Amino acid sequence: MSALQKGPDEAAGGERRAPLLELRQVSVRYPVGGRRRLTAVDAVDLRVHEGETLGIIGESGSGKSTIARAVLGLAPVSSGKLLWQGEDVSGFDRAQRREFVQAVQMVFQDPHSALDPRRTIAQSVREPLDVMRRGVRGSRQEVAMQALADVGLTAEIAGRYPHQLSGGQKQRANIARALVTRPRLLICDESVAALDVALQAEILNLLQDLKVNYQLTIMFISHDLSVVAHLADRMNVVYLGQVVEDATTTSMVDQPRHPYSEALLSAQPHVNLHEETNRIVLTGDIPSPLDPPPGCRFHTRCQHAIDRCATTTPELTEALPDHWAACLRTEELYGLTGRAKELI
Amino acid sequence: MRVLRVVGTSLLTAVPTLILATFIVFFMQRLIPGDPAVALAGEYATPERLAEIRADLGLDQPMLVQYWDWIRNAFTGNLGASFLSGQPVTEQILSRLPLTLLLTLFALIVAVVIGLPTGVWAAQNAESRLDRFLTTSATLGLAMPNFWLGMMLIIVFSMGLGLFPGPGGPSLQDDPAEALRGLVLPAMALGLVGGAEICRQVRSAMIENLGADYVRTHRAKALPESRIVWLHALKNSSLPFATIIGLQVSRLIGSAVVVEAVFGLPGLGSLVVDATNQRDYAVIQGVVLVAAVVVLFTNTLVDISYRLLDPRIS
Amino acid sequence: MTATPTSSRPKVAAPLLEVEDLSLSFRSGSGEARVLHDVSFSVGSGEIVGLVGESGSGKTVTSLALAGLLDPRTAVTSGNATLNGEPLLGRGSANRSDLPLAMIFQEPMTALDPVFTIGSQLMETLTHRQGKSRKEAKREALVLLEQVGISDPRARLASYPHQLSGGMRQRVMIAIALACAPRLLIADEPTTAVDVTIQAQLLELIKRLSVERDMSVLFITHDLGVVAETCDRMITMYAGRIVEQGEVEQVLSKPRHPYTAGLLAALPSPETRGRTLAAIPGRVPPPTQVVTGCVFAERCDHRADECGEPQDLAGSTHQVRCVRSAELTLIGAQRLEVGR
Repeated sequence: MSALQKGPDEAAGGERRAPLLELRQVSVRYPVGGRRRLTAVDAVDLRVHEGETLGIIGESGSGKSTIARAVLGLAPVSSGKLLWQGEDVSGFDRAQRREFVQAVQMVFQDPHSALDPRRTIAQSVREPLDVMRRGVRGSRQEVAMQALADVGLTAEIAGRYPHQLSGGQKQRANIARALVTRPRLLICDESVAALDVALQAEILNLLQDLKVNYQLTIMFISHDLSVVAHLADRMNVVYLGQVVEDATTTSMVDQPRHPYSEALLSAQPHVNLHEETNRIVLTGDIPSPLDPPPGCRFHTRCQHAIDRCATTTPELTEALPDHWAACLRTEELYGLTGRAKELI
Repeated sequence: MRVLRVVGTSLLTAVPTLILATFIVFFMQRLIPGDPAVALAGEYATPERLAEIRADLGLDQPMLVQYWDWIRNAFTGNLGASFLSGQPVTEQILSRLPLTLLLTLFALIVAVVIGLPTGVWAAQNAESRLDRFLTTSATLGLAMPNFWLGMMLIIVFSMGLGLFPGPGGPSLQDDPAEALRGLVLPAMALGLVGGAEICRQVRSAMIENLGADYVRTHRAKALPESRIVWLHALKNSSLPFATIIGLQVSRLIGSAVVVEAVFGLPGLGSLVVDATNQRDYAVIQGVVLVAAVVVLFTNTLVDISYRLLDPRIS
Repeated sequence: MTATPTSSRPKVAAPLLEVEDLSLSFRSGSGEARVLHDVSFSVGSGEIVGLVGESGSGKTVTSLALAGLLDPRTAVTSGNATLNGEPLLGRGSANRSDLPLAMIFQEPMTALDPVFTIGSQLMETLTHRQGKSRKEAKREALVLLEQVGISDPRARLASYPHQLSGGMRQRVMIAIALACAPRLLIADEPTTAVDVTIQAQLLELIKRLSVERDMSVLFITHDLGVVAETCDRMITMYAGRIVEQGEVEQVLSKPRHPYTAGLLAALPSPETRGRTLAAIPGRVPPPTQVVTGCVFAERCDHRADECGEPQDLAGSTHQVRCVRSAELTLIGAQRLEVGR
């Protein structure tokens, strides 16, 4: 293996500022009765740079939502470090902690259950400010109304209750609520998954606009490759709690360097009709995260797996410039420069 | 395997439960005003005579010692002797237990036979006139006190129509057939209220299940509606059903006391009522123990049935 | 494993399912809501037809009406639907068991009976639908489980639904559907709730079964990508009406209704990165609203005066309900060489 081991921030070449958010070898484990533990996130390295949109894509059991919850402190970080602008979050004092909490906000998947049915939209949107007692009440109201206007909701809608709103309007309200603390990082966890195509397009457009107007960095978590590929500058593919590939969206879509990413890309149904796609249909089910396979976690479903894959855990290595893959056979399968993959 | 484990854990939890229940009753009954020695010797007995009786019965010992003696004997099946008659309590209970158990069983059958089908019918025709009629009747049924219902039944069916014997029939040992006939009205008095409760619970469980996705699947494959309702939806509703049956057994045993009194039946109920009036602590204590055992046994059966009925419970 | 290309499927024209002027209203205390308006279409023998639309388009109620799963106390249907010449509408649930029709659903988690084994649900279907004895039913159940790609079918017969993964449960659902010996399978969003790699497996399975058994499929979905890769023909529905139907390739590459074109333009993809997606402003009119002209007009960029007139579904193989379709040039899906 000629590629370098992935070290802290030597990837980009040239000096780059510390990432806005960095996960270093972060693991999240849950006790599940008896002495068993579920490793939802397993030694994940992840970096989100200021101003970029990072897509995280994975299927059920991949731990993609747990990563988001760990960042927000909603899931226990069993080991590893969370760095905010290069500083360890666990060492923050009260003031820093408060600042961090305001700077990282999340938009959830289900627009219906995320809003309190007994409060008006304006009250719900103002809530994060009320909780933090920021400024006087009047100014909080003003900030909330501004955020609502920014997501395209009128003052009239602000006075309504959630059940009087459409699904799209509710998701807009959720986004507005995430914006009132003026976050720097917005985490979207399957935020458009419950919406119809036309609404989904509206929300995706809105996120792109807000990213510019609010100078946001976005971490976009989804199972839907086309949505992630549309929005993200960079993508991380996760499988059973581990990052298996990390690359710019263009590089990932054009030349995936991990058999799982390749299969995922190929499984995505596409309206653009092309003759004779060689679709890779993976056999078998996604293994349970309670009992993940040893070695490379993907080896049980991988058509290229060899004996070594069942025993050796692959590390993320640089397969192409700034394109990292965790596969023992990357080089063999895909070559170093992106030659044809039929080398097997 | 699963069932064995349930039986094991139930037995383990049963012992402390029984000790706690009898312990509480042991001390509670001593708070009731009145003295068994006075009840035995009469109001005009001399203090010396009373002290003698108390010593005889062991009542002069500290309460914890009394309780310890009692529980030690109870484990060997000896529940002591009645303060009044001197008869062994175990014997007294055993002679009266079959009648109460039969009455409870009959009442349970009445409750299920009435509650189950009406609950299912109400659910099948939810929000229809039939449903409204059934749910209103169930609410009325729940509001009716057992003893009042018992008296009404006696007035109509026994005194009025002469269909069933009235209060004070022969005992089970003397004339089993006539004694069983005598159980019909008390079983109805007990069971009707239980049936109303079962009807309501079955109705709500069935409404939920009949709207479930899997029922739609069964309909899509064109299974007969009767099979969908009475086999699939009903089996899926069996957990709340088993729960309510368990609760009903405890409730029926409790209510049997009153109903036995109304119908003059020589069961555990009348035994415990008499014993309470005469401060016969040994008898009260024994009946409580037996009732607790029956209730715990039922709960174990319910627990086991959960595991047999729903494969998702491990 | 590689896919069998859709284009090589034999296409037979003889219509198996014919739906004519199907209309549907729901009665409630406050009045009637009309959710289907004169829906007419057909499905040929062995054909896979996609029924596409967003929530509220009427695609799911169409399928429920055909499968006889609507509550007759609230649903009022009119029109005609025949399967192989047999009428589908207005028959009680009692005499549906000889119709060669089966249906699978979106949520494999809840669609199977949780307290009965896979084997008993499958065998019960076989005994009731095909009059098989218990022994025959068991043998046939094993064959079916094998056919839908379940490994170790003998052991699976004794499994309960909660012991299987989502993908496996949907396979079992398909096996149960096959036990009805269907000539038409109605699949209501069968892959929406499963992961994309599992979806690929299930789509392959449905396509294979359709060919092997000469079984037609009415495939209800909101996902145009799934339609493109699975179906022979497609029907676009909007607000309870069919607005466009035709061969999948034609409709997707040259859509003739602005709504179909709008749905296509709204799709994100790697190619749209950094661009603004074309959204469709406005909302679907509620079923209580009476519309005389084009029902899409109020959201349409190409709206003109003539759109206020009643519109017909016009054309031969590629039909569209839009008076302006001849003069419009709408952009469809691109024919791309994907760089893989």
